[in-house]
Amino acid sequence: MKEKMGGTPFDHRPDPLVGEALRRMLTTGDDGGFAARVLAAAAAAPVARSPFDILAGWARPGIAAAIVAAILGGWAVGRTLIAPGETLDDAIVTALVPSPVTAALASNEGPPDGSVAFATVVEP
Amino acid sequence: MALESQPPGGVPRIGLGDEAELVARTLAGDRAAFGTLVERYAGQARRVARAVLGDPDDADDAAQDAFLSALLKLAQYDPRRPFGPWLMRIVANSATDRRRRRAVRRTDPLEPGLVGGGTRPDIAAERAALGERLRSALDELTPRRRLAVVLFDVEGYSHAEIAQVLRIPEGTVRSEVFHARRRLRALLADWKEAE
Repeated sequence: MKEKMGGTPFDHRPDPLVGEALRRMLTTGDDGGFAARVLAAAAAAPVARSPFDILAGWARPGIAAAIVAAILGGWAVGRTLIAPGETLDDAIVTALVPSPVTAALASNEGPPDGSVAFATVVEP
Repeated sequence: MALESQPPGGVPRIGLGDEAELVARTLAGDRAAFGTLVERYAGQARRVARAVLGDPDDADDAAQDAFLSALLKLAQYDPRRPFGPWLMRIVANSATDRRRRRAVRRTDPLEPGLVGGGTRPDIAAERAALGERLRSALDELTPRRRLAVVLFDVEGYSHAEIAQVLRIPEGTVRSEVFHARRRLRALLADWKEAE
């Protein structure tokens, strides 16, 4: 009997008798119908993309959201810092006062003088 | 492909290049290529799922979930490796998850159709009896042992491939196959002697 079954249970080759008996027991038939069912379900499922494509897909809305948030944040901060009727230049000068040196530096239209720039660092 | 991985009279093993090409075509949006993969592996996936779950309807649901999961994970498949073990791992996981989730219930009796239609009533009855005994014997085995013997003796995978599927050492696969076979062979021997 053992020879018919292909040797000992340690045999490294598939056992035709055990294999055939299990195959007969486990096979339900109509694989074509099953495949059709799977393909119908798959028709509604997306095909996988590479992980990098997926990350890139996540990144695009993330970058857009960050840009919108930065614009809105800048607008909100600007509204807080700049009083109505005040220009941005005025607001910067106001923010730098009370130092007359920094005010002179900010209001000067020419390139800053080295000594003035140094004074802004040294002076409290 | 090693000789030992050729199933006896079973599903012919598919060439590596062929599988890789089918996967690449599926990823490019070719649904027919995926259909070819499903048709080739449908029987195998259903048997493996049934080895874990017992119930044929549950097994089909698990196998279907596995194919859909494989479709979604297809970009993760390494085309340098054979497709079968990769897919069977997903099938085994799907069936095992379903087994854990479902309420504990008795295994359904074998359907008459499972033992082959169109045969003489006495042969059909014999096969049904053997099928029931095999089912009982399989139920006594752990799911991992069942998977190991089905993947080896029915589907023709090598010990190394089964080790990949089950994520266990190759030596453990040999041990699992040995214990499962010993049980099943004893049962089949009794049945043969009783004939």
